[in-house]
Amino acid sequence: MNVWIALRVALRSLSKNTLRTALTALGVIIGVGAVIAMVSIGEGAKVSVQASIDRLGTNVIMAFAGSTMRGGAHGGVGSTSTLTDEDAAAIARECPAVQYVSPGVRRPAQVVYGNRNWSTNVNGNGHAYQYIRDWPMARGSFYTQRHEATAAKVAVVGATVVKNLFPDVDPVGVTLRISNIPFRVIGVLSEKGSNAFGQDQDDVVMIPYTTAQKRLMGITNISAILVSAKSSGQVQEAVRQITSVLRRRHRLQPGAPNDFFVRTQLEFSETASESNRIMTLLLGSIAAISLLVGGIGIMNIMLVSVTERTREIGIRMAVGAKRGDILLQFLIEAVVLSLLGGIIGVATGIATAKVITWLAGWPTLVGVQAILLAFGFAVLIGLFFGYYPARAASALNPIDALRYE
Amino acid sequence: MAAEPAVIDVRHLVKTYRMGEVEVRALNGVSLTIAAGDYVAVMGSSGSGKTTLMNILGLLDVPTQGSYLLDGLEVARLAPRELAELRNRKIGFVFQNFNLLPRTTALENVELPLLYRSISSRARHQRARDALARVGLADRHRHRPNQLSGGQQQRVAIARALVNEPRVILADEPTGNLDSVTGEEMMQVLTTLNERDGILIMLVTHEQDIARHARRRVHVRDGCIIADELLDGASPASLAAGAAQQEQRAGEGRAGGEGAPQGAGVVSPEPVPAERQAAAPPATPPAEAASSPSMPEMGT
Ligand SMILES: Nc1ncnc2c1ncn2[C@@H]1O[C@H](COP(=O)(O)OP(=O)(O)OP(=O)(O)O)[C@@H](O)[C@H]1O
Ligand SMILES: [Mg+2]
Repeated sequence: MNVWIALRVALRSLSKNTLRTALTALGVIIGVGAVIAMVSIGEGAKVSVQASIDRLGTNVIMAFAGSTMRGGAHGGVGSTSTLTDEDAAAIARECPAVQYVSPGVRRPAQVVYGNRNWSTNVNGNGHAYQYIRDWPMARGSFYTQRHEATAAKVAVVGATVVKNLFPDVDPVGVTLRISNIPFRVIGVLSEKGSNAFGQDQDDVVMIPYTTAQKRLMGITNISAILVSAKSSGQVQEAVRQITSVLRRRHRLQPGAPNDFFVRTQLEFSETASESNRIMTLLLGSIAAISLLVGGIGIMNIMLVSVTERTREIGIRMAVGAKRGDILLQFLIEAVVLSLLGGIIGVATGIATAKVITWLAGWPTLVGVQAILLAFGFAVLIGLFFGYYPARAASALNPIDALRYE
Repeated sequence: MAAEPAVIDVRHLVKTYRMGEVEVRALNGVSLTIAAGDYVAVMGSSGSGKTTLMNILGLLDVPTQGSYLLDGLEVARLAPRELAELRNRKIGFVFQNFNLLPRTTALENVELPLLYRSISSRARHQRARDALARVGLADRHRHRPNQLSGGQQQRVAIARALVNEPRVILADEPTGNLDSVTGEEMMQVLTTLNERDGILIMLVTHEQDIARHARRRVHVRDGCIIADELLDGASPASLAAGAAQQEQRAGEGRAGGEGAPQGAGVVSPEPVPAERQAAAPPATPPAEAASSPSMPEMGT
């Protein structure tokens, strides 16, 4: 039995039945393409969420005001005003595992420059915020301890604010108004993109927290304290120290619940990866369904063509084809079809992922695993359903194959 | 004892189809020998088992019982690949419904048998072209079956059957789907193949006009050969052997089949000496042969 003959016969047969060839390949293409596109969306989301969490810094710790239980009622994060800047100072003073501390308050506000205005987040942070978040300046400089101590009316602005408020002015040195109070812009933050929860981190105006407390909000408490541990190995140690300092300062009895939360970067990652698992699972099951549908498509077209193919097999056997010739022909046809469909499917899937990124702006990541899985599955189905009917037909007497209906 | 060695030699062929409870005996003990270069028409009413016989002779089907020697080889003992080889080299089969591959050009259809043997593609093309030319379709290489008339399709099928220079061409109602003029043309092609190339031709037909071309007629009824007659210069040897086996059918073994007394009990025109057959027979048998009184009227 000659492989070249079988190859020639198979290719000839494929080119003769272009519609069947195209439909079968299409089944493989859709199955493979859908899985790859789907999984790449899931993977892309996972990676980008993880990356933006990691961008926060691996040694970042956050303490929020609020409690799980107070007087029988649940209070949400920041719902109480138990944290003060003295708490922050105490953490900086008394926790050896802690490197930087930045008290924080925030509130949305209208920011005005000239005849433009922009609603954004006004965040009051400590001067150490830039180190904790490792957030470099694009232009100008961050405010200093001195600005903080004097509650100076200075501000640094994020890239989104620059885009909307200062489209054609260098913002450094100009004066903008927040709630009608003038602030001098001393720096522009570098662009950071959106965070793990999809918020635009560049849509922000940062001022010293003292300024925010005294001049903007008229409060003395703070809503959160951002802390960095000396190293990522000391994060848990720092959490313990912060917790005990805060409990002592808040005079909590042993056994009483905390009136604050302490969260580490790691816990954020875990929350995020938990929701990612759900999303990946969801996308994965959609992908599996596509693959199944693609597979059924392949089976369908293959089985539908069995009658015709059985007659063809009968004719070939009647003129002298051996069983091996028939099997080899159909095997090669199935291999060529499935590989062709599989390769085009992989290309389609990757292209779809790119288009989705481009159109919808979702991050996508094409994983080798997804490619192998989709490709392997579709090719196996194509092989089986292309080859199996031929096996059955080639076992018949030529006359039974010719008469098959 | 035959003047020429038998190419086809079947003994006590039985073919039963089982359809649930019912058993259909499509062939009920057929014995027949056909010598090289013979030209045989098989006739008989519908359902009498002609197609069944042809399919077995063409190695497309296997008998339930009985032996089939093709060129002296017992077919039942051959492996599937050897059968395929024989179908490829020795036998050309022409079907009533043509059985051409759709969406495939005439030339490629004719090349089909050559694909299953090692032969250079140049030689393959050349032989397929020659075969098409022999059936008068030299100018239709690129036509697909659906671009050809029924007669042209059947000629392509004949070209396919003869492209491997077979010793035998079996045609099951080759003119069954054709009008009488086209059918007559088809018979000219087959007759030429028989006379010029000495190919053994066996064809099934319901029509006297078609059967007229053959030198020998075999009549089948209910799975049995009821008459085996020679027209115009037949070989008595071949007939005798067939007739003897015919008579023996009810008996058991095949032993002595060959040696059985000659001319027992089967209707036929008076036997003609063997020498007459050796001389080239005329292209068309005399018209009287077709209306021979010995011919039973078949319900066609
Ligand atoms: N595959 C089959 N299964 C069951 N019975 C069959 C099968 N093929 C043929 N038969 C039966 O065998 C008998 C002989 O059929 P066959 O096709 O040989 O007849 P035929 O002489 O060729 O008839 P026709 O002139 O109509 O073509 C019929 O009774 C038919 O019903
Ligand atoms: Mg028939």
